[in-house]
Amino acid sequence: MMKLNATTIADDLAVFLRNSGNQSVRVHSVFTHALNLLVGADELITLVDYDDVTPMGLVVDEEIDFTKHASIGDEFVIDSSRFFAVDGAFMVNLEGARVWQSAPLQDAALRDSAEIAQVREQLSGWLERQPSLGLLPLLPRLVNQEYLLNQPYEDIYCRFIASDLHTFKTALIENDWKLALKRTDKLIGFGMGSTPSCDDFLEAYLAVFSYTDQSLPGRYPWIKQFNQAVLNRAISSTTTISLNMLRHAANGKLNQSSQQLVQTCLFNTKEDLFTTAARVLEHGASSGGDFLLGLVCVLEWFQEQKTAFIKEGAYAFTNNY
Amino acid sequence: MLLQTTIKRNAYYDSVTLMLISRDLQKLDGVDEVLVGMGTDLNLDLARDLDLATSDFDTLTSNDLFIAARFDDTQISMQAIEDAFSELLNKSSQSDDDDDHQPPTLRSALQQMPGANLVVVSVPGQYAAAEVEDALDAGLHVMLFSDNVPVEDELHLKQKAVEKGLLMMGPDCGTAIINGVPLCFANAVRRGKIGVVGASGTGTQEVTVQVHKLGEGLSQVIGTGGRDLKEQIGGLMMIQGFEALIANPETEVIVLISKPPAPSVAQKIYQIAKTSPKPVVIDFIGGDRDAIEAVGAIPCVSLEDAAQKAVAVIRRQPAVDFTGFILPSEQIERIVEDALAKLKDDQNELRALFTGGTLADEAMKLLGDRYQVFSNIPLSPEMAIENLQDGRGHICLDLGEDQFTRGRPHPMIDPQTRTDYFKSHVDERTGVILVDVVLGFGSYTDPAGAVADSLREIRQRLSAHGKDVVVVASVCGTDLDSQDLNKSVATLEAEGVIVMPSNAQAVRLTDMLMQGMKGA
Amino acid sequence: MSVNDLFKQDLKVINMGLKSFHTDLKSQGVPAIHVNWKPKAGGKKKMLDLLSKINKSN
Repeated sequence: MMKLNATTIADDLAVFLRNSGNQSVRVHSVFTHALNLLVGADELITLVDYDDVTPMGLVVDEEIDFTKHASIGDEFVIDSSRFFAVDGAFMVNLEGARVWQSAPLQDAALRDSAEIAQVREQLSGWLERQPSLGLLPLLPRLVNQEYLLNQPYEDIYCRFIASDLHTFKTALIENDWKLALKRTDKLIGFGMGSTPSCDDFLEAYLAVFSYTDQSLPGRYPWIKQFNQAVLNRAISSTTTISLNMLRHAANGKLNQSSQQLVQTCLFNTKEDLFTTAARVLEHGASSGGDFLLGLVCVLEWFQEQKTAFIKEGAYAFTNNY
Repeated sequence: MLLQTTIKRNAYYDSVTLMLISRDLQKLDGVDEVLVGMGTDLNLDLARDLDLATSDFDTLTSNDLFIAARFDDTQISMQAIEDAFSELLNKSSQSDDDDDHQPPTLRSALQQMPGANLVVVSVPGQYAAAEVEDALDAGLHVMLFSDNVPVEDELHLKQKAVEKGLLMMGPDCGTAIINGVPLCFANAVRRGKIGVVGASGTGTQEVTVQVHKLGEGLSQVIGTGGRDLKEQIGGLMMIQGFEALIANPETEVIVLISKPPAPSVAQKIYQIAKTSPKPVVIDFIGGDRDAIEAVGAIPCVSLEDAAQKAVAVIRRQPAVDFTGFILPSEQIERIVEDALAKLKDDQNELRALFTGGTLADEAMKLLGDRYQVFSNIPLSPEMAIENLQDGRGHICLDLGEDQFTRGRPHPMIDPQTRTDYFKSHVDERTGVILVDVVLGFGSYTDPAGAVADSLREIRQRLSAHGKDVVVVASVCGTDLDSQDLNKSVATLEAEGVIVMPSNAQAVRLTDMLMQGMKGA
Repeated sequence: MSVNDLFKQDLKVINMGLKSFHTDLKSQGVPAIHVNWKPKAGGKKKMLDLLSKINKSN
């Protein structure tokens, strides 16, 4: 049997395993570099063999082609110290794994509006030069506000969803979150991939909304409602893998590379923007690109808010004097 | 037309753009429309809108993959479409390197190749030091191409390397040729008796190329990285490489190339040169001639001169300063005259756009302070490019510097940056354009072609004002480089470029042109 | 193996980073492996120091 060691484990997974003791789970899906175990009705634990842990996941220390060692439905027994395939294919030792903090940075200073604008510009400029996969052909339209009706997008999915994405984005910038929520009926579950493109796009929104709500508590009371409503819609409208991803994002949890990128955008973490963005782009075919597209769009919303926030704050200060 | 749906239950595909597969399936003969996706409500709605729905749709869940197709069943079958899907899926999940296995770590790479002796590291700067540390611990020599590596890390790694007798070339080391193998950015040159230790990438390239042109060859070309001769690093790799070449039987002459070192470092090098049994040619670009001569080494006036002198020493000929041109002076004067005749009186500005940092530096030093040249590597702070008012004045830019390469590839790899600068910085006041064209491994596939294209555009633009412009270039390359020196020169000359055989000669010619331009 | 020893051997290269460097080596017939590199431990320097301590004690 293959004996693997976990190098990294997400804090939420460590806590879950500690609290639930020994249990039996089944393989939900298998990819070359990732394995999903189904826990309960629709929750997934994700194992990967590359250094980018997911919010309920772990990283193993050796490169392995999971598809050669596991199939959908295989039984695993899991607890705090190890994951063990019942058919003896492989086991993962959890002892010594470093625990990754999946929560957003606490006590970090948000960048100011000018910096966010600059970050957004740099990121979208960089994104423009990347291979145009997934929803990325829609970047010019969504970012520059220039668009032609009946733009000849080659890809069917892009063609059909362009105006809905645009409406969604614009509604939020104009603070009409209810309209935006309604529009998600046209977005959730739409697009190519095990995590459909629009879900990856929305993931960025949910995460940044959650970060905002955590950094500025009470400032945007609608965010919790919005995120929950999106999740409710997602339950029946999309893949299990995507549902898990959206659920994490709604709580401000992303996989490590995406977390690094969002934190670099919102806080001054001194990481290199393009390096962190490139890591996100690497993962999962067009998923990274679709997420980045969503991020560039939601950063525009964020930038507008910060501006508004600063204006209000300054006014309040003057008034108090 | 037949409508059919294939369903893969609970099927997930990754790292393969299903969209690309979808596009490829669309191209199959007989396929009218095909949609691939997960069976979510919205995706199924789309399929319905495209008239691809079949009764199978009712059984689909979000976690199922579907391939819905409308096709001419006289030309193709659903089975064939499914087979094509599987084939495309397998093809794209293979590594694009002809089935070569790509291990994920240094450790696994060493297991696969136990006899490895050199690691080339070009990962992002903040991760590089850790990888180099592992490589040195494993007893491997290192070429560190990455920059943005902290200077404390560089010192620590070089000290370790010296202790273990290993090479740690870098950080920011772009050029080396070890055992005749060009590494990263280097030219294809013949083997021979001249050994080089260089702290400057394109400077090293120029010297090796000139040596090759003169008919001699290179034994070993060791890079040190741009910071090696600063006080804090103390020239550790320059010294390591210098001593290795002294001990290397194939090397008969040693050439050292760098910008002027910190004084204490220069002293250490001079000491070694003093007791060196082999002749040493030192090009500390713009450095202290007397000090070099005092220790019995041979100083240089340019990179080309360094190559010439090394070759002269090999051939037991006098090592004389080369400050002129290869072409006879009458011919040079005619070239200058003809060129100046093309210019109008108000065309008196220089636009020097370099991709190679050391070549730009050499140009600045050779032009000296006789002209007011604004630059991002200025000779004095007042001439910093930021101080240029309204774009009027002489400009010389090193386009490989950090400020120009944020978020984009180096101009030697991707000519777009220089193409943009040709458009933005050349106008009707420009008299002379000076460029370097660097060939070899790592460089763009046709740098001469890219320059030629830009020039065509410039000439078109200027002809609207009834003007022309003079362009001078040197090509840093050899007949053995894939971009082919002769072909590159021909491409440039066909666009009316004056191609000089070296950077130094190109700069000298530019100097003569500038002297001739009115009010330059 | 010292520098002068290296000069007597055939180069066998491990490439980590830009793929084009590996491609160039292969085109010259130099034995070379390309590492499918990913940052260690999320790239945090503190974590790297810890890891190397752990590795040393193993």
